[in-house]
Amino acid sequence: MSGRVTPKGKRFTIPVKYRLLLMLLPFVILITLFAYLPLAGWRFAFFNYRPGIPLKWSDFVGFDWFMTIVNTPARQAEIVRVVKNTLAMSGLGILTSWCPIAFAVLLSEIKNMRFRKVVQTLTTIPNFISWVLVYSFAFVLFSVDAGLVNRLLMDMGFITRGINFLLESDHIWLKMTAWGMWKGLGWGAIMYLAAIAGIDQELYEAARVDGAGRFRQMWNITIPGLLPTYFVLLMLSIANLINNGMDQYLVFRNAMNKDTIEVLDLYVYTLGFGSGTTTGIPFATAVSMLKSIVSITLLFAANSLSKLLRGESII
Amino acid sequence: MKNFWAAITAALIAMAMLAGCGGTASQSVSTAQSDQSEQSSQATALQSADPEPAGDTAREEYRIDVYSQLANYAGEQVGWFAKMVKDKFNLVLNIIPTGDGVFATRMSSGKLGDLILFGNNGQEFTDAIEAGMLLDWYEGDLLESYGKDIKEDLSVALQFNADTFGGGTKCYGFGHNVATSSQYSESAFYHPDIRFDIYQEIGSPEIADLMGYLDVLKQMVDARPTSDSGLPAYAISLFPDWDGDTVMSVKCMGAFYGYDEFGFTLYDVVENTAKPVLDEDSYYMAGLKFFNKAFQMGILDPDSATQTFQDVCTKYADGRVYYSIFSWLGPSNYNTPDSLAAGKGMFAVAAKDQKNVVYGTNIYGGNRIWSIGSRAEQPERIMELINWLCTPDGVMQSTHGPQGITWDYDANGKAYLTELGIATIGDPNTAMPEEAGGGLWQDGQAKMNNSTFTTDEINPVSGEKYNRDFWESELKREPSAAKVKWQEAFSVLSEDEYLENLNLKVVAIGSDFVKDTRSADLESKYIQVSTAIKDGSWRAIYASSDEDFGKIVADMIEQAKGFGYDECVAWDMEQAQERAEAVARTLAMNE
Repeated sequence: MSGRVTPKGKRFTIPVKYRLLLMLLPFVILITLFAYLPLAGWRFAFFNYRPGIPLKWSDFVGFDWFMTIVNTPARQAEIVRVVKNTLAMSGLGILTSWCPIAFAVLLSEIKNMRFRKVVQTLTTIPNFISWVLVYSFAFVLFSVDAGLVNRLLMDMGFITRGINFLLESDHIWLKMTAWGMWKGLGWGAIMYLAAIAGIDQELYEAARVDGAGRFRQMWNITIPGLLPTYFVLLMLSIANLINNGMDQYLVFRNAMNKDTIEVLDLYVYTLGFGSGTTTGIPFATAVSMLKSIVSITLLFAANSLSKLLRGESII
Repeated sequence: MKNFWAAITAALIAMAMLAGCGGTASQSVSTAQSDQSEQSSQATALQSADPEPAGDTAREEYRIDVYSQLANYAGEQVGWFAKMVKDKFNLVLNIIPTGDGVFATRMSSGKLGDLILFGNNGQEFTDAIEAGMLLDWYEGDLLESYGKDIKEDLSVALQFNADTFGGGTKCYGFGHNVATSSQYSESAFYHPDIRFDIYQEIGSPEIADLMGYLDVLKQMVDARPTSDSGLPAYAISLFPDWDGDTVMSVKCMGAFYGYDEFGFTLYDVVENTAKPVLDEDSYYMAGLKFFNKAFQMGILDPDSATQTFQDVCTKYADGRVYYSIFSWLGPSNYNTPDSLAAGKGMFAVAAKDQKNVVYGTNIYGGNRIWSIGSRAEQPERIMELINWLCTPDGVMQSTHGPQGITWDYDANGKAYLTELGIATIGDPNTAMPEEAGGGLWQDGQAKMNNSTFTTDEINPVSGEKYNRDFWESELKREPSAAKVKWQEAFSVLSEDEYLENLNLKVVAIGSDFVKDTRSADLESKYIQVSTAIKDGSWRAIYASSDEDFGKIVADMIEQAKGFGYDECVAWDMEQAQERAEAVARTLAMNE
């Protein structure tokens, strides 16, 4: 059975321009579905929307919900607070983003393959544990009476009554970054380990011949070899500065640490769904639209930085 | 590669087990699940073995979604209540509790549920009506043919619902705890219960007022610093799950002094006026100070802000907490036959100046609404179920268990508990016999968790109240050693008598008052003020010094006011005025 044949006997072919268009189509559909279609939800910010009741029955209020942010200093203060938390914790994440490199470099220096595999496996596993389970693990460690840490401190005679560590509100940003690192360190190192494997072995041999020690080799060969990968990942994480997720903060949040743990995503979630009321959706939508403003600002900032440093624009 | 995955899987399992061992919550969930699967398999086995299926099995099985905002349970109803409903109506109840975003999602999907139980008659209920999610009970012959008893006995409550929410012609259900008269009061549940054995051990010191408790409780903890199993004991243990507009445990201090919860105010049930919670001299502030003092003295459980209701129940059961706000919280968990026989138990001891709020009965029903989904396939069968729950048979069986097994009527027609029935009260984990559905008593209780008639209503079959505490057979039953000590100390027989004789209660009159819905703008302010008050309150409870406390409270007030607290309170005060008028109407009617 031959392929589809045109009357003239030539095989049917799609012209190149359409073929390229067809190849592009799946991605256009995906982007439309997941990036542009959700923007339609922005219309809720302009109505007194309540779920289940059609929008056409709801009151159109124009920019009222946005104006309440402008007109209420308490609400402004809240938004400044959550944006500050978001940027601070994302910023700390970026500041510590060199840790997986260091870890990968050191890991690759371990000569005992068995030990190396064990370390790598153990550090990768936390990435696959959901934040809810991480919290229950933290609870087991730190809970007041049955918690491991409290028991230990009590048995050793440092304290007489249990301390509720999870309620403490000091250094929340650092603590959250530490939890994030514990969870992501091994996983983050995988990409660098692959990059290390790709470095030409001859470079090391040449260096050894020239009398370079292990640290010299790391510093002058491995690290420079990893930098391109690092910068790509860094750029991606700067673009995601405002999207630091919410599940981690949702599970660790309580009345005491709320002021410093609440990030923008979590704040929007709480406004819209959290308090058992459904009338919060329009205001929550209005606040979440702020996120787009921040993201666009960040994009332009990164762009001008790129222009300044490399002389070329990314947009 | 294979080894790598094997290692990961093994480690994950180990991790999960580690988490499961420590967290009592996750442990109980997994046991509940295994119980459930065990029971459902038992139930099916039983069913197929049953030679003559009783009742309505001729009709095909009908599985209904019960969306209950009152349920503390998710999944299929199991145990004795499941068997009862299955045998009588061939219904299977799939219980769906509420949570973050559940209502919004179900509303958007266009189907809330088949049987829908609302936690209150506020915005969500009226939104559901507006969106056409609820069935009009007055339409067609639904009530005449399938809800005869409801139509006959609950006509006032039905018409009240129609007048309030359906323009007088459409009825969307009725509220809980309906009574046939508004002249008596329900049995009390707001009263402080303390570990009476320890209290006597330290010489039963007098408690003059709220703050007077603290010294007594401190002495009790000093006398008995550990629980029955040897873990550290605390005087007070709180939990945040049930916080509403304000922190639940704190507002309850108002209920000890004649104030009922009312938005951001406390409603004085005697004077029929309202007092804003953040006023310096409100009982909410007194409550905050009370719990903070307890914290500073080291007798408040440090877990209070992070634990769940279930965790607290476990602590009460082990005797780790000496003070309880609700009669059904501390005593019902701690006063097991074993503790009572050993002379230990939690009983009511109120401060001299207390006026505990007791709710008056209400002919219009409360605000927890029974309703049917407009898209239910066979609404008539759901109506039959609700109708049965409104009959004496339904109230008795759904509350006290299967007749003839946990309770029965004696030769004189009076109700009494069987041996098994008595055992289930002492220990909710008592096993039920196979013919009644098997499983444990408490797993089989009706998980939808709403009532039709109040149990303080008279059962026409026996002439006694539905509430077993008032059955002649129960009153005659020999009290435990622990209870006798308490009865002798105050020369009373029951908790209600204690409050009555020592003049420790006030009645909140039931009325036809229903709160208006708030405008969208006010509602959004309400949410943020409420969050500010709740967070501030918890921080204040954990303040390390009085100075710190004052600062946190001042911050809380400033923040709440910034979000529009004053406007919210003004609205609450208007509503309080309406409630006062409704109460006056009831009083006029009673005369």
